[in-house]
Amino acid sequence: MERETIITLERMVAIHAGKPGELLMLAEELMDHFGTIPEAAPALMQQLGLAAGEIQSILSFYHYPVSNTPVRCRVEVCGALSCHLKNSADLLHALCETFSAEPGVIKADSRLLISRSECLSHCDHAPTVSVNGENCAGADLPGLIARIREALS
Amino acid sequence: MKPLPASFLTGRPKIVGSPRLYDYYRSYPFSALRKARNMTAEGIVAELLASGLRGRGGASFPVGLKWQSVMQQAETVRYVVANGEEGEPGTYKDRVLLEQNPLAVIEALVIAGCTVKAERGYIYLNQNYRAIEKALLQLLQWLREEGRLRCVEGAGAFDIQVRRGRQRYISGEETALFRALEGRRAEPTGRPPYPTEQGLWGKPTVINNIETLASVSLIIERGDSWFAAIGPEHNHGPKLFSLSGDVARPDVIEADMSATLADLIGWAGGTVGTFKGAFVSGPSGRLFLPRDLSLPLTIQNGCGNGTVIVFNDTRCAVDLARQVTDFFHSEHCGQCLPGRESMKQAKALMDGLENQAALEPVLQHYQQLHAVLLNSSKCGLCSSGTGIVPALMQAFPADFARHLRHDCPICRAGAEVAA
Ligand SMILES: Cc1cc2nc3c(=O)[nH]c(=O)nc-3n(C[C@H](O)[C@H](O)[C@H](O)COP(=O)(O)O)c2cc1C
Ligand code: SF4
Repeated sequence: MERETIITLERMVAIHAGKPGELLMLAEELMDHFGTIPEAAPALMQQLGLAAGEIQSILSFYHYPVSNTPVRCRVEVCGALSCHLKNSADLLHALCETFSAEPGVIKADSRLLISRSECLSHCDHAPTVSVNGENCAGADLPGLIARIREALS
Repeated sequence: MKPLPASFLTGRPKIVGSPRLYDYYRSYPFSALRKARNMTAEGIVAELLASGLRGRGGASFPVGLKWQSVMQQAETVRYVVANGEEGEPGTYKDRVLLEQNPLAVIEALVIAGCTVKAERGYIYLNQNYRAIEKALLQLLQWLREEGRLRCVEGAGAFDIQVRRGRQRYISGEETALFRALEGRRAEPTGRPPYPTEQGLWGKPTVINNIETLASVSLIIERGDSWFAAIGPEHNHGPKLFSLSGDVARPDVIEADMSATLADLIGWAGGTVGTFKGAFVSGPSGRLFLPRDLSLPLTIQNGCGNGTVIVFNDTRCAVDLARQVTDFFHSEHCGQCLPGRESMKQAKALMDGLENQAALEPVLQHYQQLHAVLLNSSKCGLCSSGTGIVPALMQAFPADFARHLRHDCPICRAGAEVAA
């Protein structure tokens, strides 16, 4: 990890030092900043007053990705029932094919992660896709592909 | 088709994400809060009880009783929480309400805080509600600056914090939500003690759904009789329904609970194709069939959180049953033995369906799992998640028979497209 990244990480963790109840807030801040939880983070998070085992167990419960490969573009295709009825599985497949990606695996070259997600609660626009936290209507495939390309560029 | 009833909770332009947030804030009348300032806590609870308002998060518990129970606790540190997790598939009414009228929820949370003498309120949001979080934080900042986060001028400190959670359906279960707010694993705890006795950080807590709170603001503003006059007996007030699936115009529809399933589908533009069934209150709810189209979506008929996922006759019931089973299998927390073991067995039953000789033993096994869970599981997730699949087996045996014969053209076509 680059020195600059470590300094940013240390600064972000220090704000929550001594506040064990703020682990999830911190984790969300790290996700917004890095797109993943950097591998050095769990050890630093002990400053909040939590044991290493507790931190691991909380991060894994909420399925936080702990990785040093930063994600530039996170695409989540809702696979819940309402979106499933609008062919979200085909959409996930089409997106993976377009970007030569495998669902749930970070593409090391482009830092793209395309995955299936549970309900994104935008069922009125099903099939719903979230690109870096912003919800887009999946029905417009060319528009969606353009949006992902823009996020990657 | 019946005309769509008037909207009270929704029907406004979307304010979240628009540049008009400050205008909205400035012009918001705070009528409920103003009225509440001249009422006693007992008077507020009496009004809620008389209105007949029941929670809109799914369990339909009387709101006045919940608040009263917190007021009666000896412990003086108390909390109020707005539940905006909304992780049930097909549910998005709270999002739409918050996008249109977030101050109605803040207003009710302030009233709740004053009524039960809480020191802090929390609004817990679904992970994807970033724009709503931003708007709420801004509104709360303006309210704080103007000293308006209280019922009575000069009253003690009361503040509201906003937390956007990590996506896990179980986090919406009230006791699990407290753990998430505490920064821990969102694992439910057994009852008793109830949240009104020992909730967030072990203190008496009022937790209500977003729509419930917006309804509180309406009741205080317009009066309990106005609210009680809407809808059938024991089903008072306006209710939000999230429609999705095979309907022409998926949307949130506000109606009273005399609205039938057919009315709601009609207001959502009608079924695309021929109606085969609907999951009412989502996959954790009840299966409605064509014969149920004329049933009103009351609490007694299982309207629950108001989610309606419609499916047409091109859908295979086995595919739907697998979707539901996979969802609850992946979202259950695994904490209690009945839940953990039943979910494993339910998934194995559905995954291995094609290896079975007949449907009856599969149905009986699934029903047994559901019965065991109803009596022994720690929270409602696993039990509610195993209710609808046996109903699908009973309603559509032909779909299951095709799978037993390895001969389902619908699912095969789907699998070929995916491959
Ligand atoms: C698995 C599960 C998920 C739930 N999710 C939600 C939710 O997202 N929103 C909600 O308001 N209630 C949800 N509930 C119900 C809450 O536990 C609780 O009853 C509700 O927040 C109380 O508010 P109300 O009385 O205003 O309905 C859920 C319950 C279970 C068992
Ligand atoms: S019933 Fe299911 S979700 Fe609830 S505590 Fe048990 S395992 Fe967890």
